[in-house]
This record gives sequence, C-alpha cells and structure tokens, in this order.
Amino acid sequence: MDMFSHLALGFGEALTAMNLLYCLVGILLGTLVGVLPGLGPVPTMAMLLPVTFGLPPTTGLIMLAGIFYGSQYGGSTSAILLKLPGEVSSIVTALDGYKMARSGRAGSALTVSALGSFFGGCVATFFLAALAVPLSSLALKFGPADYVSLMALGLIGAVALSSDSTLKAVGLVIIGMLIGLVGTDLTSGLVRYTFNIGFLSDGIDFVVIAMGLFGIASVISSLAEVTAAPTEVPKIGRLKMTREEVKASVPAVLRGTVIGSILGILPGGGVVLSSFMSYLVEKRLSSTPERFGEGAIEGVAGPESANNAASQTTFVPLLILGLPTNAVAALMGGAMMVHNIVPGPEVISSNPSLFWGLIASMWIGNAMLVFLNLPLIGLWVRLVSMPYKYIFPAIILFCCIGVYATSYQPGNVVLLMLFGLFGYVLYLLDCQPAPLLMGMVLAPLLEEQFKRAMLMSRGSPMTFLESPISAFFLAIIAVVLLVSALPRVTRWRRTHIVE
Amino acid sequence: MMRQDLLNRDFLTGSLFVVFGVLWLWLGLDYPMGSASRLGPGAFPLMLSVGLIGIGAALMVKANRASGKLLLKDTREVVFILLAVALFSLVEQLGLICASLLVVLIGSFAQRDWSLRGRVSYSLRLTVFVALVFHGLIGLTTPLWPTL
Repeated sequence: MDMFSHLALGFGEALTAMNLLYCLVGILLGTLVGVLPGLGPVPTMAMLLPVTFGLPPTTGLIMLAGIFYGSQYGGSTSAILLKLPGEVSSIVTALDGYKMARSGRAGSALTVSALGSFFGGCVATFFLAALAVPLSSLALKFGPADYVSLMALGLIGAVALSSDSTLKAVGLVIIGMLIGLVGTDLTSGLVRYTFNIGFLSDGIDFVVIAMGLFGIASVISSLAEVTAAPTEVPKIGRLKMTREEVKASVPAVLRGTVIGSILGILPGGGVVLSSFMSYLVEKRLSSTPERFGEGAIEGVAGPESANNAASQTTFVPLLILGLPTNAVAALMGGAMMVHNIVPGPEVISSNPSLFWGLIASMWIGNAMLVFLNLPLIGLWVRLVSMPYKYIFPAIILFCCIGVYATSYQPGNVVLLMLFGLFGYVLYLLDCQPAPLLMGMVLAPLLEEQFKRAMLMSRGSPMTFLESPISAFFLAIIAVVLLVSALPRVTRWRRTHIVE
Repeated sequence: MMRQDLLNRDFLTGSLFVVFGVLWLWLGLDYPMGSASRLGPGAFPLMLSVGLIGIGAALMVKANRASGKLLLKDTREVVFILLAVALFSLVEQLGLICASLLVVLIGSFAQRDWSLRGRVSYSLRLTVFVALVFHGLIGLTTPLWPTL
C-alpha cells in the first residue's frame, strides 16, 4: 500500500460528516481553552474523555487531537492581544507579539501567527505520515526486551526534559506505575492493591486520575494565584502583512517548522521546548537581535510555526510506536485503550482507517483553524475578559459529572477528590504530575513485556543487553541520565523549561 | 535536624516517596513472586517499590536549601473545592439537580469576593444549563431528582 492510497483512505474517513463535525468541535473547544489562561488542553481533553467513549474511536481521537493543536492556536491570540499567554508555549509569542500589537501591528502579528502555525502544522503532519510505515515496520521487529528498553527510554526522556530534578521525576513515574498496577493481573488473575473494594478490580479508571491530577488540582492552584485584571485590548487594524514583514517571516516560519517537527517527537519535549528554541534561534541568527523583545516579527513567526509543528509530531511516538511521550499523548493513548485499541506499531496495519483518518483530519483541522480563527477573534477577546470565578465551578462540576458518567460509580468521585488533593500536594511540593500519568499508562504494558522478556531468556536479565536494539536504547538512557544530571544542564533546565 | 529542614520541599517529597514505597512493598509482600523466568504478580511491584524507596531516600539526603520551603497558604480553596467534589459522590441519592447545585454553591465559596446572591444565582443558572445539556442533550441516565 503506497502513500497515495493511505491518504485516500484517510481523507475518506476524515471527510465524513461526523468526523468533520467532531473535528470542528475539537478545534473550537481547543482554541477557546487555549485563549483562556489557566485552563489548558490537558484538563479539557480529560474532561471530554467520557464523551469519546460513546463515539467511534476515530471520531473521538480526531476531537481530542483537535483540542490539543487548536489550543496552540488559541494561546497565541491572548498572548498577542493581552500579553497574557493562554498556553505556556505562547509565552515567547507574548514577548514580541504584544509589542507589535501595541504599535498598531496586531493584525500582522495575528496573521503571521495563524499562517505560520498552519504551515508548521501541515508540514509536521506530512512528516508524521511519511514516517509512519517505515518506522512501524522497524518497530514490528522489536522483541519484548527491546520494548521494555524503549518504554524505559520514553519514560526517562520525559523525565530528563521536565523541569523537575531527575530523582523527583523518576520517583513520580514509579508512583504512577504502581497506581497503574492496581487491579487484576491478567496473567495470574490475582487482584492487587484493591483493599477488596469491588470496583477497583478493573484498575483505577484513567479518566479519574487524569481529571483529578490535572483538572481539579489545576483549579485549586489557579484559584490560589490571582488572575490579572483584563487590560484594554489594542485595536486590531488591518490583517494584511506588509511586504517586508512577509519577507522577514518566511525564513523564520521554515526554521520554526523544522525545529518544531523534530523537537515535538522527543519525550517530554514538544510544544514548549520548540517555541522557546525557535525564539532563541531566530534571535541568534538575526543580524539585528536588538529588535527582539520590541516587536520583531520573526519572534512571532518562528515560535508559532514551531509550536504547531510540535503539536502534530508529538503524536508520532504514540501512534507509530505506541509510546506516549507526554501527558497529551498519554491521554490519547488512554482513550484508545478504552476502545480496546492498544497503541503500538500494529495499529497502522490493523486499524488503517483510524490512523490515516486521524492524520488526514489533522490537515483538515489546521485548515479550518486558519479560516475560522481570524474572523472569530472578536469572540475570543470577549471571552478572555470573563472573570475566572465563572469558569472554575463549571470545570469542577464537569469533572464530577464526567467521572461519574464513566462508570456510574460514586466511588470514582471520591477517588477524583483524592487525586485532586494529591495533585495539589504535588503542586505544593513543586512536582510535575505528567510523568505520573505516563507511568500509569505504560505500567501494564511494561510489566507484560518485562515478564515475557524474562520468560524468553529463561530468567536471565542479560537479555536486555544481548539484544542489540535493547542495548542501544539502554545506552541512550545512560547518556540522557548522565547529561541531565550535569549541574550546568540542570540549571538550564530549571530556567528554560516550564511545563 | 532543624525544623527548617523538615519543611524543605525536596525532603518532604523524598519522605513521601519512601512512605509510598514502604506501603506498596508491605501490601505486596503476600503476592507470589514466582521464579526469575516465570515472574509472578508480586515481582514487578516489588522491584518498583524498592526502587521508589531508594529514590525517596536519595532525595531526602540530597535535599538542600535550593528547593524551597513548603508553603501552606491556600487552605480555603483546597477545602471548598474538595468538599464540593466529595459531595457529588452522593449524586445517586441526591439526584443530578441537587448534587450539581451543591457542588457549584459550595465550590463557589473557594472564591473570595462574591456576594451570596451572586453565588446562588450563578449556581442556579449553571445547574439548569447542566441539566439541559447532560440530561437532555447527551442523555445521561442519572435521575434528576432525589431518590432517598
């Protein structure tokens, strides 16, 4: 099957009325959530997980993906107009974008942001499509030992690129894994860690943990910080860009796209790292770096392309290898598993319409975003001015209903509360919860592969070194751990990476 | 150790890890370990728990001034939000309408500057919205009214 027929299949799937509708819903919600500071794509995706259960799997994933890359578009809008980045990845956009808005060039900033994002998103999606078949056929040659090392690499990578100290992040991953092991062990039938509470024998519901750790906890911590009073929004003016602006933006967009596409694949990396890196690169390469911070259009064009490119390639490890590399991918992986689709290289061949349909819808979604967002800007602006006190109770209620509706178990609501508390404790302790979610999603898979590897090697742990692929991954892990433990790198991580 | 050090965030995180690790270890001791080639259900959790304890201990030792003290100042927000969520677990007895009202009303107290009238009014409006959307549109089968 060549690329053309794959894409034909994909577009056929993506262009159905239902999938188009849910794509639209996803990107609109995503943009809304991106525009509003405090509420991010992760809690929103968590809140909408229960909705995806009743939908065909492709449709659900299309919507969830739309929420994520839509939020990257939305974050730029409030960053440019109000110097209030809706998303962490839009922080750099706020630097020069807001200055451009203040000097009457808001229209150009918004336009270059939308178009650059579109270009970045499209190219990255193409990248994803091109890598799919070769990478997955490579992955199908993996044995259990190789999988174990690959998953370990994914987890460690996320750890290394988080702003936490390596020790803390690894500890959180382990806690996540232990939580993920609660329930019935499939091989032996033994029920673990449930204290004989009935509904836990199927394991702790992924939705409960996601909503608790990311939804409830983020509401509590957001309330603790005072939200800035809405300032006067600068007039938008013409949306067209001048010729000089276009000339300056094009190379920045191209560079940003490359940076984003590559960095998005890295575990833990993704949208934030890409946008920051692109800003640094543009500033370094510019012949007039003093302009940065004062309204340099490259400082908007580059990072915007980068973060949208990264928001697409962030799905590469999940969709092609079955390895979620950040919280967003972990949520998508969780959604797939609810439909009994185990993420992995077999997904492309066993579920081609799902895979290619999702990719095709990413293109369609990016196109819809450009056409819809520029006219809708006025609406977003009005929404940003809405006080948080009207938003947060709704979030809490939706989380409660969502969790309850998943399995009609009041016990899950209690768990939601407990995980909300736990998430807040982590926040107080300055710990990032994302590694925990990843550990939880990967734990059952990791355990199964580990047991299989040990079975095949008749009890010898040397098998992880004997297989060349596995040894390769372990070597990378060692390098990553060593490098991130270096004091210089630790300091850089702390200051430059905000999750 | 000085009192100051006990509140150090990394130190507390490390202690949390150790406590969790010990807890899971203790809970999992009864599960069969199996042999090296045929690992039982207790093996993997054992490895993880031991690893967690080790990391926690290392973190406790490594903890220094740089990670900052634990600051506990937002108790109001925490209490009201968590209470609101916990109350929703009674949704089967209270029905969707009453449960939602309670959640939003109690939860609204987590926000300081809000008149009582404003809180009640908002709670009513949001509850109506939720009943319409979740019950009417999405078709949630939860009973709307109390079934005591």
